[in-house]
Amino acid sequence: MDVLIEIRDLHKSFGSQEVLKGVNLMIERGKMTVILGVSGCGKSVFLKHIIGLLKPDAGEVLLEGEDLTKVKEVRMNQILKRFGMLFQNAALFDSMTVEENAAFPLVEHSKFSPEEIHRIVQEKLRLVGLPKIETKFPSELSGGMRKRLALARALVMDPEIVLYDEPTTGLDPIVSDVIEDLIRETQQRLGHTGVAITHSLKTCFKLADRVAMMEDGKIIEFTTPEGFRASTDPRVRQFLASTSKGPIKIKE
Amino acid sequence: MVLRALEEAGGIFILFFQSLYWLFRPPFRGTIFLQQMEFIGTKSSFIVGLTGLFTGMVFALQTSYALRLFDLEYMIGPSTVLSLTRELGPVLTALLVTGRAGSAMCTEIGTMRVTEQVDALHTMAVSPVQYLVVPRIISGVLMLPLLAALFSLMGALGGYLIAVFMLGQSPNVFITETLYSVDANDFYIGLIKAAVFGLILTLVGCYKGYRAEGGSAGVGKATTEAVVLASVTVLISDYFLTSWMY
Repeated sequence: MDVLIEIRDLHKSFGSQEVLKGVNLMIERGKMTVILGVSGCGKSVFLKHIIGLLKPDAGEVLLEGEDLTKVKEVRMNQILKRFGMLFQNAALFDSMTVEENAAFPLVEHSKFSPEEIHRIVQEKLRLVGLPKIETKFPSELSGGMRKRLALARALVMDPEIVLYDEPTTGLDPIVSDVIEDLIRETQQRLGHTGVAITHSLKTCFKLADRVAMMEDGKIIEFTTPEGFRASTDPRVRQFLASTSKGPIKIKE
Repeated sequence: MVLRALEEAGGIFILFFQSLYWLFRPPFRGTIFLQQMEFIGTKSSFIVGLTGLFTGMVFALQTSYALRLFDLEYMIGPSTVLSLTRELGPVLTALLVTGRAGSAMCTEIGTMRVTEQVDALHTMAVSPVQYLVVPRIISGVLMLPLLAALFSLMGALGGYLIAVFMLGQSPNVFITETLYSVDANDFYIGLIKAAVFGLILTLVGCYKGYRAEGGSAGVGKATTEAVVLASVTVLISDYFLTSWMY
């Protein structure tokens, strides 16, 4: 197994609430790992630790052996250039146009001329199937278009690792399907390593090469999609059956 | 309550030192600096100038009533201009800019925070402090002295108009008495104060926005707190700056 990122015994609490209770996970190079779990199980918090938005109370996030939880900000900024991230609500800059949004990482970090940046941005916008809307602002776009633009922005630097935070939440089933196809297609075509979190079984099975299920701050199952479907863990069975009856209780 | 205040003060100092750290690191984003200077400086100049003019007029009128009792009407010019350059210019400018630009920067950064745009900057290897906070603080420190000078200048003009055209004082008396009593130091100290106030109001506005949480209600609360905290800090630090510099 060619491991790119290894997460070791990650712990995180907010006040008296313990959210991550010792997460261990290996993320394979070039594969799409999907982390599945009910809302509030800690998967968003976990994803934010991979990219350094949160610091753990204990544990390590090793990218090719380098512990990302301990590096200084300047070094982290170098490492972050290898990452792209698709946010749940797109997190587009609303003061910028579509083209400026997609071009932002290139403008900040590349030495390309404005013409070359324009060309690369056009190519990425075509890749995500966005029609000619470069001069519009994010507030003028539909939810699906915003997600596409956010994906174009996440891919514009040709990152090695792309993180997807609930890529289909809040979209209608048809647009969700389109976005899932798009994510899968771009990941396979560009060959980057993907980590997605979702609570949707459909999204999970459409995207995943590896499935990890998180429950109550821990990874309780980590396997292939087939292995996941065949899992005998009662919590996995309950999730697959999509029922409220079972060992997973929703905290009121 | 005390703990919260200490935590807040600590957070503001940390943001200040982070800003200093990022100030001297590339990349230097000239366009963003210019945009912020335009927003804080140029776009505040009308309201600052207008307030300055009327403050000077009112001040000259009010002091004339008191000075007339002692036959000291020739002191209208010096008293108006001294008050403006030393106190009213920097303090009122700072309060005006807090209301106009400090609140706006808190709302903007706060909205970016709650919609994950600040996180997005981080994930794109751009320091949010360097990108959002540093240009605003520098613009505040550079623009506030200029705005305070404009305030004082317009105020002096207002005082002159009242003294000469309404109270019938000779222009010569107003100008010579003013130049005799006011020296360059009064002017410089006012400018230094204004720069410090510029630092305070931008730092507090950015800090409150940066720490905003809880959706639009959280941003609204952060903005209110930013305006109150920045105004109060300006007034308190004015006292200490005055007692220290004179």
